[in-house]
Amino acid sequence: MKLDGKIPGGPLPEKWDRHKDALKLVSPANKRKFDILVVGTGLAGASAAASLAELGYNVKAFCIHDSPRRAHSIAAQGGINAAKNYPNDNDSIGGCFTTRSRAETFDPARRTYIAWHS
Amino acid sequence: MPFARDYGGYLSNRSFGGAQVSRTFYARGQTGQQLLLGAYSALIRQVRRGNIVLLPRREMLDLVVADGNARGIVCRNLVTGEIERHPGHAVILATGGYGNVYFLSTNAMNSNATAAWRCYRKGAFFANPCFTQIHPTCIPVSGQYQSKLTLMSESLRNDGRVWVPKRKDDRRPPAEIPEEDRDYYLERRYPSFGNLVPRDIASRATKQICDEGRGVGPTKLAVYLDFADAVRREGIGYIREKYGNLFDMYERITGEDPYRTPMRIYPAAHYTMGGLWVDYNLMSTIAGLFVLGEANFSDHGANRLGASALMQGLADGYFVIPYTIGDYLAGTSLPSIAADHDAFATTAAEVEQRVRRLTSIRGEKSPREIHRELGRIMWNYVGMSRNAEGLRQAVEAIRGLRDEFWQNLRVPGDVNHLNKYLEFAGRVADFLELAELMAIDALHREESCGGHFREEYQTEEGEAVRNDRDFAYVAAWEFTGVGREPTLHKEPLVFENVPLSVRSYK
Repeated sequence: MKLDGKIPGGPLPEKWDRHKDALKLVSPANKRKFDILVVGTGLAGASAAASLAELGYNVKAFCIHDSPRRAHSIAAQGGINAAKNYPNDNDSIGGCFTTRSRAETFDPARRTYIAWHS
Repeated sequence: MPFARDYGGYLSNRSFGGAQVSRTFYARGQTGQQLLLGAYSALIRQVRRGNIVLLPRREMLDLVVADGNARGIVCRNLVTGEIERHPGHAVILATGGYGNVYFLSTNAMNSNATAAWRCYRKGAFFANPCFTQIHPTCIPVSGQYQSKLTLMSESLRNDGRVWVPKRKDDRRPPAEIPEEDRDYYLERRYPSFGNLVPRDIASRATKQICDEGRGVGPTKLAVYLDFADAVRREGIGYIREKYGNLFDMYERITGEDPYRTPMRIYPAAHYTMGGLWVDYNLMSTIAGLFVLGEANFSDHGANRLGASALMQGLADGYFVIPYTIGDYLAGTSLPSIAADHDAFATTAAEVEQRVRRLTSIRGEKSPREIHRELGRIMWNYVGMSRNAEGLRQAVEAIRGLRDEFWQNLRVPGDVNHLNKYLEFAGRVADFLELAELMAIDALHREESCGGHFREEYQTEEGEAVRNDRDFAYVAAWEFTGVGREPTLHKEPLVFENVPLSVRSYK
């Protein structure tokens, strides 16, 4: 089996937007017909469940604790990154990280949304 | 979201390990808590509106795959013991990482790898399992019966200085050790990043210092994180405002006041960069199974930098999956499926059998005891530094321990009630398989890269030596059976924007 990461082409800052534009859509009336199971209700699970429900999907959210407020994400202390160059210290706002990973998926268009929306 | 703000009203930033700029947004030392309250509020709003059915106290014990698509889950109701079947059109896994494979970690007691591991056994590839992060600043282990470790945020290294006495047998209290007898080893070895070198580098340097016998405290497995300079420079009020809750937490756990005496810290397992393989749409190798947050392998490579995990978890949930799941649903034919479908019946029967098997061994050892032994193997051989011989021993030891588990496990109580031992037993059973995969992956990756440090591949000064020619790929493993060699699939890493280079923190 050949692994296909489906990473879109084009310049890094535009990848996500171009990818999004090419994705198929589900109409609002049809979203109600789909049941989505979300397992885990920490930051990733709770945000996914809430966003999908807001869009109109039927969501079932499974939580191992007695309440999603027990999720271990609560213990994260430090902070959340976004390259905004607020302090004028020459942060690269269109750039990316240089550790060896799938560096190209460090897609600033996807990542800096966090700071815009918070 | 009450992010810290600066005088002009903009959101304030601080710096984190491995970054020479300040790009970390924060809410004191409780950023995760504040973000979770936000996500939780959004979740509960939808629950109240009837768009989400919330099922707490459920543990996913298997994935149901029908005609090649993920079509539901089988879970156990942790209160009644009932095995439940839940059909759907897509499954999203957001079940966190597998740091508890080390037994002691900064993860919560309930964090586990079972959901992800069950999906691996059903055909989802597991990528880079050996990439684990050992966090340098945790409260040290104090005794054998400790159940978890507590993190002291990396942000403390903005104002705290890490040091040990220069002399090995220096037993003076820290305040009586003059400047010239102290070794600020991170500042000495890495002058440009100083105390804010990335986590893997700081952890390894601390391990080396303690291996030399220069550690402090009763166990000698700790170093000082000292705020005296910052308190002198900025005043106690500034420190309290920035880190007050962390200092309180430290004092409650250790009984020492970090405003007056340096903290004692030591590395601990904290985060796992590896996880289920996903594509750009966050879909695994099983169609319809999406994996979000720490549970997947994407974004962090071998080395997650501080404050990137919250970003990834939230970006995956708020901004990526709402778009990409629609593409899958619109482009796939998914006939309706009910809980009495054959695929559900088979999977539920397997789960029930497994749960019963765990309680019927009637041996001598509790799941926690076996877990503690597993943790010792993993910490010693698949921890901060690894070598081929140790990894081979680890594989053997893990297999032996797994055999012992299935012959000598004791789970008191029965399957139809709340049974903590039973929950732990199931998770330990899966950790015992995952641990072997981690050792196999670490053995195959003959280079040092990020959190994965192989002693054979280092410079004379003890810095990591990467091998980009042979190992610049994601190692995605396919399950072939318990105790059998998994199949390796490689996804090459392609770098379009940044030339691949070795980063120096000196």
